Amino acid sequence: MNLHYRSLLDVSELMRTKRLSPVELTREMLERIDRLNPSLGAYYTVFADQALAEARAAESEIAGGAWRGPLHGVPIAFKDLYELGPTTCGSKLLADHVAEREADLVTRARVEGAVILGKLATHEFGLAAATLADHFPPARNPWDPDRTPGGSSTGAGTALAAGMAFGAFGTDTGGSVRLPAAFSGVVGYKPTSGLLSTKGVIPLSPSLDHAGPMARTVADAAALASIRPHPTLPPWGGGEVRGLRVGVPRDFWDAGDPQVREHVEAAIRALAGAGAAVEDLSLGFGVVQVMAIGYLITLSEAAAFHLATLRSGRSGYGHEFGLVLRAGLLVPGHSYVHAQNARAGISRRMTTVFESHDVLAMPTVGAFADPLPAGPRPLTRRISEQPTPQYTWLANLYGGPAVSVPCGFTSEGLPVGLQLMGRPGDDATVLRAAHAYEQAAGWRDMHPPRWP
Amino acid sequence: MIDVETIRLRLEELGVATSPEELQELASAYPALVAWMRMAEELARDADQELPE
Repeated sequence: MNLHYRSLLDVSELMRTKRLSPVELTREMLERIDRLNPSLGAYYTVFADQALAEARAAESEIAGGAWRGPLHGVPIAFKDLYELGPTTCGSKLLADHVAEREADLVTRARVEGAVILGKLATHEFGLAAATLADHFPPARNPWDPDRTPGGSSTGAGTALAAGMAFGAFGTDTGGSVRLPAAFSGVVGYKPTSGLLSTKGVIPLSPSLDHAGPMARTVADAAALASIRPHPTLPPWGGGEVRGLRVGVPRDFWDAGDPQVREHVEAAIRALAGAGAAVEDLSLGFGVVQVMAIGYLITLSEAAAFHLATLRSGRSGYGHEFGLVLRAGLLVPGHSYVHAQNARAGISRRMTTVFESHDVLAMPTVGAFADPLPAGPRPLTRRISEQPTPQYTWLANLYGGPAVSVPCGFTSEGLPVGLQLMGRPGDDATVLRAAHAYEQAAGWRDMHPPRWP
Repeated sequence: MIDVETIRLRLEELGVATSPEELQELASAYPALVAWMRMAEELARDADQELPE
């Protein structure tokens, strides 16, 4: 296998044992980014000189016996919502903005000795869907460059699927780490709320925002999550799922594309075949209700954050993002309170669900990657009583861990994601189940044929 | 349910200028936004405190 498609932990081990030079690896990454990025648009900014300097420092330290840990010398990247050098949030509004500080997770990655390759494309401020008419060219899906890689962490999905980074940090307010993971055929992990710091990440909806790692394997994503300042993630061990109680809330995911359902059902059968105790259960609410609550909270909080800038008349917001902010201003206070109360009710229901189940299994999203639109989508596509079902919002509402892992391909050759969700604080069980499925399924070895 | 002028006035009260095209889009999406609000109210019913009968 090409070096650029090896896992983060593989290259880390090669560097720890001095069989691979961090400088050579970083040079290969930079050369690949230079070659592929004009076609795929994963990166807004590449820190070539700085990355090579970090790689040389890592090489010297490792040669001297001072290996810092699994990220030492490993080339990774950050979504452009993290404060780190040029930080545009995918918006013309901040096209020339350079952050004066660094996000907590960036600082922590430096402490771990990671090599930071650059800043990755994003939907504007983590929400408005990318289009071909945007100020920044959109990231493209390596499995079909005419399609979106999913968002909002678009560049992370693209970079990982095309072998342009070994890991990435995205953000996830309603699925923005897991949706691009599903559409791009990689792994996205939204940890338990609060596990990874969001300090220094430009907010979208502070009560729902999460930082989350993306990678090509579950173990790599877990390694990235281990950089938080106060480790609380217990060892998640190997891939054994025998006896694991897997709930399948089919009343929650009765919508969506039949091809997606077919692959997810096959993945659930594989978990059962590996010894998990699988049973159907009812959550008592549907995906449209969950998305409605998530969006009411997100639109309201985003509108509050951006109101002063909107009022100032400063130009630069894209068409869709400007509209969703105004829609957020039309949500009355009592509706925001209802949404937060409904969220509390859902959290209580999930507490009950996880008394008798260890993880829930469902699709990440009931669709596969759309063609990139030529221009802004109508607002009725975003604010709709029949939205594309995104099963991701649930975990943001109750705060539990969730992982999207590849589970097959559509007849068009586009990836499909299986999502596993767990009880808050029990990230280890969700990672273990996802890893077990990943090992059994073998999708992790599939890479986009256009970018060998 | 709500007309373009009402939306314009609400946003203007907040000091936010909005173009006629944007107002039209907001008016088109508003019924779905109201449907979301009703879903939230319905789902919150058990959690909301209510006045005793």
